[in-house]
This record gives sequence, C-alpha cells and structure tokens, in this order.
Amino acid sequence: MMSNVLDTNQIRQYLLGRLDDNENLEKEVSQRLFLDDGLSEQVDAIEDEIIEEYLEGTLNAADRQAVTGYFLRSRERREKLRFNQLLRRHFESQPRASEAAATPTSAGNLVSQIDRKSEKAVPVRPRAYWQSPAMVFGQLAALVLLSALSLTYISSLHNRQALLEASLGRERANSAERARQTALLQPAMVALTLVSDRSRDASAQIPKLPLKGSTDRLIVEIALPAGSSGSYDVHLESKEVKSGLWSAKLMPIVSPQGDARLVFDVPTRQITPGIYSFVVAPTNPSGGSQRYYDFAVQP
Amino acid sequence: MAARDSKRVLTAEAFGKFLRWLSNDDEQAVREYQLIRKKVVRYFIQKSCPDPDQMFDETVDIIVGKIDACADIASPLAYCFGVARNVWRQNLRENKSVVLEWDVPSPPQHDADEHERELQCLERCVGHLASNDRDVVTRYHQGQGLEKIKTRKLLADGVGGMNALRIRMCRIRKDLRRCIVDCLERRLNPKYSEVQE
Repeated sequence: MMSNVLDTNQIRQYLLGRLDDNENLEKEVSQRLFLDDGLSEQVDAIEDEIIEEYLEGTLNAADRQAVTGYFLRSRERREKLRFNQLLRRHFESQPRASEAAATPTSAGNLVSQIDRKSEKAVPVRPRAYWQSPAMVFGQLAALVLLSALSLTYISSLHNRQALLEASLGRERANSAERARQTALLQPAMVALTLVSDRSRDASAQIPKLPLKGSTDRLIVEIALPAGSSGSYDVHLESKEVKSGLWSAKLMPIVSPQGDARLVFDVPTRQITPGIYSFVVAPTNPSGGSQRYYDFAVQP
Repeated sequence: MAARDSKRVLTAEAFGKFLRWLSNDDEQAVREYQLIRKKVVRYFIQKSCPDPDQMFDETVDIIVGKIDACADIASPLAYCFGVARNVWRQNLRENKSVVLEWDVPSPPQHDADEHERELQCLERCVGHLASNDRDVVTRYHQGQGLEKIKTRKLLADGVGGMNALRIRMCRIRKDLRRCIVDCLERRLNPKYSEVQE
C-alpha cells in the first residue's frame, strides 16, 4: 500500500514508464496524479528536471534509455525538450550578468572618482599673493603634497582599470570558449526508427534521414522480431565502408508482451549522405541470423 | 503514420450526449468537459502516448456508448479516469507489436527564418518577464559544472529550497512558452495581432 504522500522519486519512475508493469502501484500513482490538482505542478517540474538532465548529459544509462525509448514518445515532451534546448542556448550565450554590469559600472566609478578628485582639487588653488608668506608657503606645500597624492591616486586608478580591462577580456574569451564547448556538448539529435529489415521486404523504400550539419547524434530504435532476447552485436556499415564506422554490443528492451527493441545513439561525425545499414547479429549464433536495417542519409 | 490517417473524430451527436451526461446546465457542462479533457489528455501525455487527443476521443466514444448504463455515476471525472486508463492499456496491448511505428520521427525541422523568429520572440518574452523571474532564469542557466551547481544552490537558498526552485523555473518556462507561442502567432497573423493589441 502506498503512503499518502507521493515522493519525487515515485513520480519520476512513473514518468519514465517504470511502473507500467506494476499494475496496482501504477494505478494508484496515476489515479493520484489524475485527481489531485495540487500535484500537477510538481509533475511538470519533475518532467522539466528529466529533460534538463537529459540535455546536460547527467542521466545514468538506464534513465537515458528510458527517456529515449519511452519518455520522448510523446510529441508534447519532444516539443518541451526542444524549447528547453532553445532556452538553454539563449541564456548560455548571454554575457554573464556580473560581466555585463562590470564595464559600465567600473568605467562609471572610475569617471566619477576622477571627477570627485578634480572637484576636491579645485578649492585648493593658491591664495592671493598679499597673504602672509607663511600662509603661501604652507598652502604651496599642501598643494604640492595634494598634487603628488592625486597623481599617485590617478595612476593607481589607471592600473586598476588596466587590470579590470584585462580581466574582462579574459572573461569574454572564456565565455566565447564556453559557448563553443556548450554547442559541442549539446548536440542536435535526430531520431531514426527502423522497423523492417532488408529480408522482410526488399522492394520497400528504405527510410530517408535528412541530416543537417548541426546534427551530432542519431537516436536509433530498431524493432526486433518478437521473442528476441540475449545480446546483439550491432554495427554500422555503408556500401564503401564495411567496418569501423560504429559498433556496439547491446541488450534489447523487452516488453511484458515479448516485443523487443534496441535503442541506442550514434555520433554522426563519420556519416555523410549515402546508403547505410545497421547490421544486427545475435551474439549467440544460435539466436538467429544477422539482419540488415537500411536507411538513406540525405543532405 | 497510419494512426493519423485513421484518426477518429468525435461526432457532434456523441459530443452533445457527453455534455448532457456531465450536466444539464450548458455552461456547467462545457466547464466540466474542458476540465476532463485537460486532465485526460495530460494523463495520456504522462503515459507517453503519441496521440493523446485521439485517445481522448476514443475515451469519450466509449463513455458515450455506455452513458445509459452509467447515468448514476457519482463522479464523472473518476469514471473518465477509469475509462481512459483502460484505453491506455488497450492501446499498449495493441501497439506493442507495432510500437515502433509511432512517429518517433525526426524532431520537426525548423527552417532558419522560423528559428530566427523564435529567437526574436524569446528575446522579447524574456524582456517581458518580471525582473526577479528574469534574474532567476538567467542565473539558473549560467556557468558550467561546479560553478553552475553552486549558483543553483544559492538560487535555491533564496527561493526556499531546491524543489521550490524547480517549481519556480517550471512556471517561468511555462510563461515563456505561452508568450513565445503568442508572439509567433502575432507575427504570422497580423490580423490576430491587430485584434489583440
């Protein structure tokens, strides 16, 4: 029996589809989420958190697989993911608030400090010659001292300004580098679903995959024959290159009904327009023959 | 995309019958319908269903077919949940074997102009945020690695904890999404803009 309070982790597991096989628990959680309006904001926040961790690459392998194989089946969530990506890129490309504020404030301070200094200097002009020599001497001495102090002060301000400018320059360079790294770390993704292998319908049109230069990763899902189990050796080949493009040993996701699929992601750096196949072979030879899942990459 | 081609449409007759079941008062019935629709569609989205609207129509179809037998249901909302859950389970069973035909598809490809429009709207909408929200969302996305974690911790301390920060960010994102959708709509449809502004 579930407690009265749904905890964050339970909701998270529910959203990742992990409760679907536990009928009673799934029913209780979904009923609570359906009827209790107070939970809807928390559910949204947890969805956002999952998407954020997915984009940041901080999900563990199992959660990542649950996201690509289950969570992102929903168009609404894919749209949410795209929006979050847009938001992240927008804000991460902005200059830091502290940095943006630094230039005008520092310059402003500098100007106002110098102005204040000048204003201080004005009243200390030498007095009229008819005043006593001692007074004149004293005032001259004070003026010299004040001038020397002013020069030292202004010189230190110049040095500080130079240091600030150098530091600002470094920060800007770091920012630009971070923005570049961010673009690399948050690649655009394209999903590819392959249902029919070459043997099922050789005459069928093979799936076409438009690939833009900004796409760095393919999220691939391959339907396996019902009842498939055990691990699979998967590799990517083209007409020209039979090995070395990409390969992995993978375990399928098997539903309670026995349907199996492989979900994985592949970097696109070696993929250029042309015809490709994922060759899927059971690691254990008694598990059946290898299958070819073809697709065409278009510019 | 066979599923989309065979999409079912809720008929006017079925819709009317459903509304009458919810309430004899027209306005009340529409309010109840909107609430149920929102909740059922949301439920199907949470279950990662590729076409929640179609499944909602299926749910209503089933309820309409049983309306005579369920006239005395105390809570239409709870009853709708039960039916929606059965529709989901049925859909799960039927689509398991073809689950990969869902349109997993490549994320919609946005052309450069559209992307530019989106960015302009985003800039505009960020500018319309309350200054404290703008500050939170800006700082939330700043920094990398440990620095980012520290910034978020500071933000969380300021708003009442990490959960409160998540919810605050969720609200800000929602506001921004609504604002951007509205902004794009205005740009694509100047007449809409004239009427609204």
